[in-house]
Amino acid sequence: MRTPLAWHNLTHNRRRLAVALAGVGFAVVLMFTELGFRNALFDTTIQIPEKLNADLILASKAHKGLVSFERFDRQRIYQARGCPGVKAVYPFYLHFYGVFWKARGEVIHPIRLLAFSLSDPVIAIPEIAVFARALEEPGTALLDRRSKPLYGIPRGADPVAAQPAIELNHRALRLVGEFELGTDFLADGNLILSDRNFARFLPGRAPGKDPLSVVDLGVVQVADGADVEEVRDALARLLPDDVRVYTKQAFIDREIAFWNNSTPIGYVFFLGMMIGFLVGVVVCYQIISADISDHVPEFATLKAMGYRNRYFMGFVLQEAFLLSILSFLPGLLVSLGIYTLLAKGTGLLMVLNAPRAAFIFVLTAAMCLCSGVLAMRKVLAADPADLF
Amino acid sequence: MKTPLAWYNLAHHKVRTVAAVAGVMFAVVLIFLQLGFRGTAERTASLVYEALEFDILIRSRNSGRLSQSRPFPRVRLDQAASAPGVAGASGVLLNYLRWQSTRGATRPILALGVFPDAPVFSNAELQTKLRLLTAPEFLLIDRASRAEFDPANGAEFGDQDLGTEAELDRRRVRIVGHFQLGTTFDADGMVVLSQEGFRRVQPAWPSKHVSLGLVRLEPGADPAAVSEELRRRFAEQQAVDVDVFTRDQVIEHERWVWLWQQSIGLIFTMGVAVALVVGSVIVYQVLSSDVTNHLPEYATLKAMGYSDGFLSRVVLAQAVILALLGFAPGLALSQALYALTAWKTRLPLDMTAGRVAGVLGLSLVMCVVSGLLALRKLRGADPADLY
Repeated sequence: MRTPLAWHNLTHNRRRLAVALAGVGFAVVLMFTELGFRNALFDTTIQIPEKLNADLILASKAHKGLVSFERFDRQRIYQARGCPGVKAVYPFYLHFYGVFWKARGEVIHPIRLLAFSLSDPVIAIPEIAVFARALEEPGTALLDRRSKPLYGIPRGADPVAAQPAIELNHRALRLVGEFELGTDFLADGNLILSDRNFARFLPGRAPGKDPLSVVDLGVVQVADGADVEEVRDALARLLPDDVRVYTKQAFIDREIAFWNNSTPIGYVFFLGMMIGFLVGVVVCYQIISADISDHVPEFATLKAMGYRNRYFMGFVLQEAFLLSILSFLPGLLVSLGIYTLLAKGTGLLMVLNAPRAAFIFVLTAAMCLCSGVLAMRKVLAADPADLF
Repeated sequence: MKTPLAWYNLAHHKVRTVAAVAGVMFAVVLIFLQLGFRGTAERTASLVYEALEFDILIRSRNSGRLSQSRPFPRVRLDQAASAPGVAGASGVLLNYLRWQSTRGATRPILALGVFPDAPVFSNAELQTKLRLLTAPEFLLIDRASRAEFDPANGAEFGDQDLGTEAELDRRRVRIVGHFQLGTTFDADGMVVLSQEGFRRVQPAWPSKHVSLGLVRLEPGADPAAVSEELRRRFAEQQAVDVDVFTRDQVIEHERWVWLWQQSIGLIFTMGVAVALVVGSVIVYQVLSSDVTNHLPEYATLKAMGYSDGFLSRVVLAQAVILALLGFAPGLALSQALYALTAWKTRLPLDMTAGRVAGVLGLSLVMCVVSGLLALRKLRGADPADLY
């Protein structure tokens, strides 16, 4: 086809094109926002495992997600260290239920604690090395800069300089610095402590035992050159049945699957995205079918000239595909704007990366092609005899 | 207007009209769905409070959502009970505990510890069943709790689970009854124990501390005035560990927490905003393409001497018809989706009369405004352009 007929048809009436692009573009924006919301919720829940310096992660057999707080015996860490192919295994502690932050004697709110031995390189948070010495002192912690403002520290204020009187579970707490992690479904804020301080604030964590004797996660690093999956299988064989070994990715996938399957979140946003898709199909159908109706005489003429149905099918699909590209770009731009606004306004993690944009583009193309197929009957029915 | 031109216009191009109606319908569904989701966040805020019997609630200061309430000294209840207008006050213990079924399923569950003899619940079924809690290891479970808590039939707790043992924070408990409350974003399962039973599974719970104080008033007492008095008394005693709310205030506070502080509510609120914008754009697109399609006919009518006013009425009538035609199936489809969502997620979405009226009004407004905008095109239609 030398003349780009689909292109000319689409761009001939500028005004209609603008309305069409707005219609399909907003369907694109809708799908982007729903996907963005869904990802915002999932991205925040996997931040902790994402940041762990782990090839493999040990967790309790009963562990389902980071909210389940199922723990295992520290002995498993020692046992795992003896496994061939393992370079290092570090205990990682989390605690949320029953941890209360109290600032200035009045603001009280639950907060999540992350703890480990400061000499263990378990998590990729650069501030830990900077403040390591200060964190060794009794009763000290780092505060997550992205904690919600309800901890009595105004956004932007330096909590170390301000140093409000803070108690954690009725014991004085001194902030020595900040780090950056982010909030999720469960916790509105985070603190990082040395394992010794963690034990001091939570003496009853393991009733009757050392508070550090039960571990939330085991951070396993594999020796150079060892195969991660082989080491995983070896660890699984070596360790008793009360713990499970996951690759880091498998652990993250499990966390997402937990939120997706056993909470309403995944379903709700999937449905929102589906509606966006259907809206797009309808809008796109209207545009293509209106365009076809307007040009029935031309089509009939072309048919009379001997063009085959195949040519028209190709034409309609081309027009649909062009429409999807043209409306995807402004839709993407508007969505980027919305993502930025939302991220600023709410502190949510709105990440728009290439695979996500590509996914929405595939949906947009599918949406327009669906409408194209629906509208095609009209061209095929155009009869040269109707012309005159 | 003797000939119902608007109707003929729509009835003549069936396929096109169906597409336009479908457009309006999906816009309606989109808005209903987002409102419904946002409604679940609001429901999360009020569900447990609405089941509790109180006029004034005392809870620890600044605990965000209900499940984050922390223990405060029970002496505050005694102080409240001595205030004029107060009929009585009872405490509720509340915490997330680790549920483990005999088959090994584990999941955190929201547990309430109550005095079975006190008026605790306004939910009649719950209040009646409290007398089943005759031993510390006995508990009642919400039938609406998610299937992950492992009921015998794999779907919902019921009579077949009576007598079944389970563990709460690694202590043996026994199901002796069930009730219907519902799941929320805060808690997807709930159990009720006696206070004695609650303390048995939570040995570290501070003695003489409760999580919520349910204050009941004497008939005729004004909740606002009494809560003001309680606040004054607590301030006098420098009791900064608690907040005092009337029933409306605490639900309003919790609604604020869920809609504006928790990510999930913020997202649903923004979902509603996006749905409104997208819905309007789609309806405009539908009506404006409809007017464009009929432009030659309209121009002809104009040439025949019909006024702009007549044509405007035709377009507006068409807009209203499209709005109504799109709304009806949209409402039906939304109801189906509400039911599907409730079934899939156990979060009931209620199609309230207010919501139906609101969306109907909104779709009429969207259609009429879009029609008016599309009319500008018609004003410019010149009979001379026709040929």
